[in-house]
Amino acid sequence: MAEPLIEISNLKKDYPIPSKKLMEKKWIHAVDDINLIVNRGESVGIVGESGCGKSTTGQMIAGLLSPTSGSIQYHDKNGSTMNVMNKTKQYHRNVQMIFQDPYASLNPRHRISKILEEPLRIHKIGNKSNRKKKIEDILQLVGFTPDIANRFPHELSGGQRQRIGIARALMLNPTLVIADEPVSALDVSVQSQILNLMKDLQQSFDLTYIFISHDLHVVHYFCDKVAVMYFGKIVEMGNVDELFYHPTHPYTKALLSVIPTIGKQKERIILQGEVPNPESPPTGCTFHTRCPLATDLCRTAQPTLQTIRENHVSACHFAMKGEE
Amino acid sequence: MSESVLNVNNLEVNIKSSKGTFPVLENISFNINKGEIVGLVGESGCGKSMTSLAIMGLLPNQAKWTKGEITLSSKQLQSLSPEEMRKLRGNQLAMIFQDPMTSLNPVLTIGYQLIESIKLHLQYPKAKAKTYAIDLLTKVGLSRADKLIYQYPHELSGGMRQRVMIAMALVCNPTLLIADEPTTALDVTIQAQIIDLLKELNKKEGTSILFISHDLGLVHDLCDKVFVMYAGEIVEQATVQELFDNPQHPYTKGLIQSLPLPEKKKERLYSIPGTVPGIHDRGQNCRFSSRCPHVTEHCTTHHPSQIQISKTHVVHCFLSEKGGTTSG
Ligand SMILES: Nc1ncnc2c1ncn2[C@@H]1O[C@H](COP(=O)(O)OP(=O)(O)O)[C@@H](O)[C@H]1O
Ligand SMILES: Nc1ncnc2c1ncn2[C@@H]1O[C@H](COP(=O)(O)OP(=O)(O)O)[C@@H](O)[C@H]1O
Ligand SMILES: [Mg+2]
Ligand SMILES: [Mg+2]
Repeated sequence: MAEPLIEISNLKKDYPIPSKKLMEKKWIHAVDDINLIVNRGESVGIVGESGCGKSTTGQMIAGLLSPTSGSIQYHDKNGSTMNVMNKTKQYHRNVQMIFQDPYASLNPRHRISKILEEPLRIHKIGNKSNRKKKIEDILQLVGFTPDIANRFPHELSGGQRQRIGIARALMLNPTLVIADEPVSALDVSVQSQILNLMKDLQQSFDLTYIFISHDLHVVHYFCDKVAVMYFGKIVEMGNVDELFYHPTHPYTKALLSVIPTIGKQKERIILQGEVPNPESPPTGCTFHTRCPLATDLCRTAQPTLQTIRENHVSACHFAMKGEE
Repeated sequence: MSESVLNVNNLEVNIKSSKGTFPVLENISFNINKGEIVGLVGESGCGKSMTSLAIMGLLPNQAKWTKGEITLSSKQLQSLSPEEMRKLRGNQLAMIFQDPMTSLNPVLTIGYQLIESIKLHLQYPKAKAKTYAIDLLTKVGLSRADKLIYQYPHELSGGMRQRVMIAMALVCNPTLLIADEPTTALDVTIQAQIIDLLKELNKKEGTSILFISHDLGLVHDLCDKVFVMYAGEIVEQATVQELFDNPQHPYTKGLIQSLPLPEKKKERLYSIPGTVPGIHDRGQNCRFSSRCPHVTEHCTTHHPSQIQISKTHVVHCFLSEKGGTTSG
């Protein structure tokens, strides 16, 4: 059944803090010891507030950023395993990325045809005529007629540009697509179009998605599994329905309680304060500074991910409370 | 009887571009009563910010108020001089923006900017202005306000900056606060804090709020009434309950149906076909007709007028003339 495609173990990324003193080098732990398995054909969501490490994680998996430590393994269909650290061309063909702001990620001076041809050129795939054919095919897949190929990015709307971003990611027939806030800049009516398209493409090409978003509605709708990140760590993870209907981590509970919804009134948990400064991380559980349940234990001991139920883990000393 | 705080009647604003002069807002009419929180929703580019800037008397140079009346607590804004308008802003009328940095000066401390505004509007002496500034910052939920006044905008987080903006807006205890996407750039936990603050302000001070947003869920949580805007016009107005229980305009319905909700997980999402007509291609038809699933010949040649659904619910759609549409 579940066939692991990506296996992430003890992944870490530190960034240097600019410091006045040359000798004193300090680091922030942007991604702090993440373990995650993404199965073939799944959509795995990564959610959390800005700065929690979602994009850094995504870029490391896409091979665009080197981890400080840990490993990311890619299991091929034929049983062989690639490690992202080796940065092989084959890895890059299989793992592609879609960004939040398609405008920033599309070269403004290039026509759409050139933008889409680029991955083929880099990987030396095909000749002039079959590249052209491939571009036309992909454009049609994402809902365009071939004449769009002659346009420039600025001539397109936000939704159209995102479809071009998706088209570019598909040029190399990837297995895994990492989408970093792909619909966050779009109006809801356009957002729904992109989400439908991404689901259709998943069906057609057996794609696996890592879907990064701060929008919990979108993630609940789109994903099978979800990892909630806080301050560089995964604090809760599981099947999306299980996790969203039965959250156990106080952070997940608070997030879910404040997302605006139409219809049901729910009790809102308003967290006090903000995410701490990463240059001086809190001791113990990093969430304790905002947690309504924090005790002395939380201020001193760091909780680890514990199994709550099948397909559901949570890193809170009190996650099991009320579960018995 | 409810007392009107803001009344906009048949407002039209034109904008100059390389292709000529075109209306960017047309037939904008609405009323906001004392103590009400009203949501203005619609897709980007539909004219939400332009509407708020017209009310504030802060339209960009290319834009011109060409028709209609705006009445703020029985004062006719079109007859005010720029100087009188400036006095009004920061007194009865205040506004906060999505990006607080557009209205904060990066090289001046928070305290300096707030104290200057207090001195200007209330003619307080310096010491009293400083005490009041600290009070206001504390009131909007900022801790250690006595230290904060010496900090610069860039030293604060996005959420804290938005609180500072709200404190600035509160200097004169405005009757109407316009909030243009004030939480769009913030995380949900911080958004929830700001929304709570606005609710509290509305409750304690009776401040009316025009809350501009593209987030229907947020408007549902916060507002009493909603105006739905499409391509420079308001196409539907209703109480929050009416709008979400019984939406009339096909555009409103389309927006609600497009929302990704967990119960739709196994389904395709509804998506409104086509795109919003730009200001250059808006004719004398229903502006939604090019995207409407219920379009008739009549819709493409005539402009719909206002249909009253209830005392508090109006819509601009020919379908509703025949006794309203069924939902779906
Ligand atoms: N290139 C960089 N150099 C230094 N710090 C960075 C860099 N990129 C991100 N960070 C920091 O790493 C943390 C995680 O950032 P990011 O992965 O972008 O979070 P998210 O995508 O969840 O908003 C933040 O504290 C951010 O400021
Ligand atoms: N300074 C400006 N000059 C010219 N056109 C503008 C200017 N500001 C806004 N517009 C145009 O006016 C219309 C309404 O814009 P706006 O009120 O900002 O929309 P919203 O706030 O609903 O996203 C848009 O079509 C936009 O392109
Ligand atoms: Mg990010
Ligand atoms: Mg706007």
